[in-house]
Amino acid sequence: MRQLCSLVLSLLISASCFAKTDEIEFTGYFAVGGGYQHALIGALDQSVNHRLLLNLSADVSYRNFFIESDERRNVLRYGSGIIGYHLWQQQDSSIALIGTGYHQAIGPDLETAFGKQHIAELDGLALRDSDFLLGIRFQHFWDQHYWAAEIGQDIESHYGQQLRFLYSYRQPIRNWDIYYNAGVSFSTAKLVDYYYGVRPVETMVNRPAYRAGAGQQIHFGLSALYPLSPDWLLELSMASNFFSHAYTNSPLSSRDAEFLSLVKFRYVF
Amino acid sequence: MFFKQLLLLCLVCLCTDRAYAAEKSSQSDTIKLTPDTCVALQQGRLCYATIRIKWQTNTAQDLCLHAGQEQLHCWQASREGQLDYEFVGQENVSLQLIGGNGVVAEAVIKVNWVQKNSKVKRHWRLF
Repeated sequence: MRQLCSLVLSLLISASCFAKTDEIEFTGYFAVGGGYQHALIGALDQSVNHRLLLNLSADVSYRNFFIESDERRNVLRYGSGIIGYHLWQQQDSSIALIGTGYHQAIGPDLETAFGKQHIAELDGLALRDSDFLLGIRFQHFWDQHYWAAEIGQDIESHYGQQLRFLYSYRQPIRNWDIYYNAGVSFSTAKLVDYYYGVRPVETMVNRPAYRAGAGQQIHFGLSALYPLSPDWLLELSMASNFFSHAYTNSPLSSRDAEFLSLVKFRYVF
Repeated sequence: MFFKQLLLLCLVCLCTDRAYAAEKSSQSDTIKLTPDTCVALQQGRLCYATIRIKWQTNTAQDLCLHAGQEQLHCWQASREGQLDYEFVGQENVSLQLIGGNGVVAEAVIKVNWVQKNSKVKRHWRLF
C-alpha cells in the first residue's frame, strides 16, 4: 500500500512538473517539538514521552488533487496526512476521495524517526501494522465552523471500516488561531479486534485472549497556532479520546481514555 | 606642489569631517521600534502588536508622533521620548516624528505573514 501511495505521490509530483506553476499550491512544513501522552495502551506512552518529535509534512494542491497535513482540527491524527482528489467542490463545501492512516502500529518493535523502538511490555504480540483507509469525505465550512464526515475502508492491515464525524471551530484572538475540535468515530469489529484483540498464541499470565467487537470513540481537542516569524509557527495542542467497552475491555488497554499534548515549532517553506 | 597637496589633504579632511558630522546629526534624530515587524498568520489579516517606540533628537523641541494620518502623542521641549503603541493593521505603517520644521525622523512598522494569499482561487485555508 505504501508503494501505491508513493506511486500516487510520484504521479502527482511528476504531473506538477508539467503543470503551469500557477496551478500548483505548495506549503511544506518541518516540525520539531515534544509531547506528553497517556495512550490507551500504557506501554505506548514511551513512544512520545521524553522524546524529540520530528515531522515533515506538506499541503499541496494541483487541480483536484491534494495532500493535506491538517492536524490542527484533529490532534490525534498526528503525523498522518491525507491524500485525495476533489470530486466536487464549491467555495464552502467539497466531496473528495481520500486516503489516510488513522491508527498507528502496535507491537513490541516499532519504527520511529530515530530507528526501532523495543517495548518490552508488548513482547509476544504480533505486529499490528498502521492502517490506510480509502474513502470519501464531505466537508463544509461556514464562517469559522467546519464539519466533516468521512467513511473509509482499510486496504493495508485490518480491512475494516470506519465512519467519522468531525466538528471544529476556529477562534482568531489577536494573532492567535484557536481551534476547538470534537469528533466521534465508529469502527467495525475487524478494526477494533485487529488492534485490541488478543489471539490465543499471544496470551500470557496477565494477558488473556480477547476478541473485540465494533467500537466507538469520542474525541475532544484544542489547538493553538501563533506566528513567531514569517517562517516559524508555534503550535500547542491537546486532545482526549474516550473509548467504548470494545476497546477498554481489552487486556492490552490500561485506561478508558487517552490524552495527548504537543508543543511544536513548525518551519514553513 | 607641496602646498597644493597639503591643501587637497586639508580639503579631504574637512569634507570627511563634515560628512561625519552630517551623518552623526541624522543618526541622532532617530526612532527605534521594538519589535519593528508584526507577523500575522495570513496575508490580509489584521495584525496585532505592542510596539515600543523610542525616539531621540539632537535638540530639544516640540514634537508630535504620527502613524499615517493619526497623531499618537506630542512632547514639549523634549530631546527623547518613549511610547508603547498598540498597533493593529493589515499593511506597513509609516511613523513620523514631526516638529515645527517638518519631519524630524521616520520609521516603518512592517507587516508580514506566514501564509501568502493564494495565486489560484483557494477553497480551503491551510491554517
